[in-house]
Amino acid sequence: MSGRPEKGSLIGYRLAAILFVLGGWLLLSWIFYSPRLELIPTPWRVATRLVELAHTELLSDILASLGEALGGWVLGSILGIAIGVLIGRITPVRLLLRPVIDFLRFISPLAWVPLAILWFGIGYWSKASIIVLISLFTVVVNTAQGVSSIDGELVKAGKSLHLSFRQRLEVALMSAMPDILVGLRYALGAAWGGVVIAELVAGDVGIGAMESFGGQSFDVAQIMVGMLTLAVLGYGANWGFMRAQQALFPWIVGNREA
Amino acid sequence: MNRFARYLPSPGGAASAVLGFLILLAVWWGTSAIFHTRAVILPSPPAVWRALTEMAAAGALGVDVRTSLVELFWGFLVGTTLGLATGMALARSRAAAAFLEPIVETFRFILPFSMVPLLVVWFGTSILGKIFVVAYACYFVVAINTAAAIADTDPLILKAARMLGYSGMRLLLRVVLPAALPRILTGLQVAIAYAWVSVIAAEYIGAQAGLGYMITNAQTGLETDKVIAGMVVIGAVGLVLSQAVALLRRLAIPYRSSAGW
Repeated sequence: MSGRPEKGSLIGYRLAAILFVLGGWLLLSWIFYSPRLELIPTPWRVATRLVELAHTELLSDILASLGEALGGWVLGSILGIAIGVLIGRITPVRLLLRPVIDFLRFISPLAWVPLAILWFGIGYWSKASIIVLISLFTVVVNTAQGVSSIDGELVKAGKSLHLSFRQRLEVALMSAMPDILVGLRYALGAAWGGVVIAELVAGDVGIGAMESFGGQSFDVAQIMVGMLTLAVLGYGANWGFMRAQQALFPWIVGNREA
Repeated sequence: MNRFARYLPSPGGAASAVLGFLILLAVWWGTSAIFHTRAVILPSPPAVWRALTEMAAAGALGVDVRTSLVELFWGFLVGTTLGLATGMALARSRAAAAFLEPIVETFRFILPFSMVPLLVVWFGTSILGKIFVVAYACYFVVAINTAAAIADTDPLILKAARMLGYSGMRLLLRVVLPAALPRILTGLQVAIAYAWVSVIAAEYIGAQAGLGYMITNAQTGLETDKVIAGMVVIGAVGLVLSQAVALLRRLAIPYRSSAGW
């Protein structure tokens, strides 16, 4: 937050923060200790449960959640960019679709979970479709914003150079790219929340389902393993996205932190 | 076409959303009338309207809306209060920032929704678990926006205020916070949307009333008309909430308007 110097003198406070969290966790797990029901398992209890689960179902659950999140994100983003470009450049489409999206954005994608189950049954698409909606709404808005604010000089230059349709599209997409990427990254972050809620309700596979089964058997350590796994996946996805962005679009700077 | 565009409501606003609702209603009505879709897949708009008025007349809808709004109120209050306090501490005190930053930066990756099963084990179906999820969902966005808003305060304003004799609490309340208000309110606008989503999501499991409970319950009974009616109510409440915060913003900072898309 504060980029002021003298970092060395503050190392003690950072250590104190780590000790505070770990100490608080231990203290709570001792206060609420009960031999029958483990309300707050100790950190090492969670670690052993993690190892146990890693030998059994954890990997397949991670792959299931990853597949839903990434599949929905890719499909939603492609649709979002396409519709966003249409809204940004073609007036009739803008007149019809922009109000519809303004309305649908008020019904959060997460409120679609029951309807998605009725439409697709419990399976891949009942969850991936939620991620499609999350990504679609975010990416459409950002793309349309980026495309409609293209520098007029660029458009004129393109016209005078007699660029083909494909070249003009490329100019439009590339100058909107910083905005599109912000939308893509936000959607990727939001996708994990959508995955876990959809899997909790339509639970057959995935980390949300694993947590849900943990809850039904009062296995709090298993729920905590799920929470930590999702946190690591979310962090990793964000990190991977930033690395990919730097590699593919090194000319975009200044939208690192959201 | 551009001639018509002038008469359209500004994008991102309530009027545009209402127009979008009407367009969508026409498409929906047309689809169900032409294809005679089965009621379990896509009930007709009149069927959904009947389900809505029946639930409202029976009083069940009122109970669900009230339950969800009470959860929203307490969760939002707790989350934003703690978020504002954390944000101010992060921006104003280097020691507090060094202590709080690692905690905030770690915990913001732990998704609020991933805790729902845990909270059901801890608090059962009581309101406490829902308040926790909602507060947790609001907390980070408010804390981070408040901290950034205060840290970005024009140093010239601070110097001028100090020269005029402001310091400590008076400086914070009379100078720093008003200068940071626009961005803090942006955080609150995002937070109210997060909070409303979290209420619905938290009610999907381990709840006995509320709109989220209502639509999952209707889904289990294959009552698609009730599911869609519930979604419309969720959207309408969301619209009212965001308009309320936008109004607050216009009243608090009339000199800055938020842009559409």
